[in-house]
Amino acid sequence: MNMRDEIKNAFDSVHAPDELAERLKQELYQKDCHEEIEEICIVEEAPRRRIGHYAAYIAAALALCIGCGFSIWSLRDNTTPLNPSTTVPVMTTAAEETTETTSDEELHAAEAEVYQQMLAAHAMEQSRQTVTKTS
Amino acid sequence: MLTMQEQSEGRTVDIGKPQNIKVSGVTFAAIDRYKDMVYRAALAAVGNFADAEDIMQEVFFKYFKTHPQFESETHEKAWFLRVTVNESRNLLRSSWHRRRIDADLSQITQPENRRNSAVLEAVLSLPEKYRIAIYLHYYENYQIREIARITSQSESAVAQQLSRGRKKLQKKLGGSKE
Repeated sequence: MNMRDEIKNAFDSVHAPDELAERLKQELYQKDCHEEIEEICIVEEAPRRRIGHYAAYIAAALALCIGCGFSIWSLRDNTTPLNPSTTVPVMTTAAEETTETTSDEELHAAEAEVYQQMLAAHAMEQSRQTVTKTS
Repeated sequence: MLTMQEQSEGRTVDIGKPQNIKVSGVTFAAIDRYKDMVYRAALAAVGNFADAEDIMQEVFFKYFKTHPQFESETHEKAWFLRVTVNESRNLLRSSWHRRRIDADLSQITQPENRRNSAVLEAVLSLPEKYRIAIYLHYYENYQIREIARITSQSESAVAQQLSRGRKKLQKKLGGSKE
């Protein structure tokens, strides 16, 4: 018998254990089942969550839109036209008011009168002093 | 053997007939068809039965995980051998494996016939690179070029391994000739 035949015979007598092959099949089958179960769970849960999850958001967004629309509508009814020439009052100071009421001539006349009174008072004071000296 | 029949999602699974079971679209028939070949190749590569069982499991897990598409049966067979050789090399390179004490071959060898047992023991006692080349050439009838492709080596390296392996084996077997 040559070497090739001997090696063939030797390896032909070797077989994979049956229990190993069976165990391998069961492991592969169970592994596949677990993967399928996970996939099914995701597929089933996703629609339920989507409806429940987005219904609240849709309702909130709708309420917000209605509120904003209503407030804009009511504001549009009560608006007053903005016209600066009629609505904004002209602010004036007290000094500006006096200058408007009293003219320059009157001011000068008043100042002259005060000056005349001061001169008269000064003259009277001087005459009183001369009287006391002579006496 | 289980005889449970299960129906889910329109798919019928009969565990009583393993060849009919489909896992992710791949039939279990591949296990029945290639289990012995993968086991023998793994045994030739790693040199002991316990590791050969581990390699066999790894190879089939990889097969069902990757769903490889084959052009022909020859292509499929070559894929199984190549993956077996690669997985065996990974195991032999791992530090965990290097530290292990090799089991006594005489206690775990399966062959009933004494001569077969002696030949197998002689082949398995060869260095790893010679074992794979010898197995693929003498048992699977692959040529040097095909062995080079399966083992990712040059043709000259494979030819050298075959030549040296043959000589070593002849010495061990007491001068048997091809």
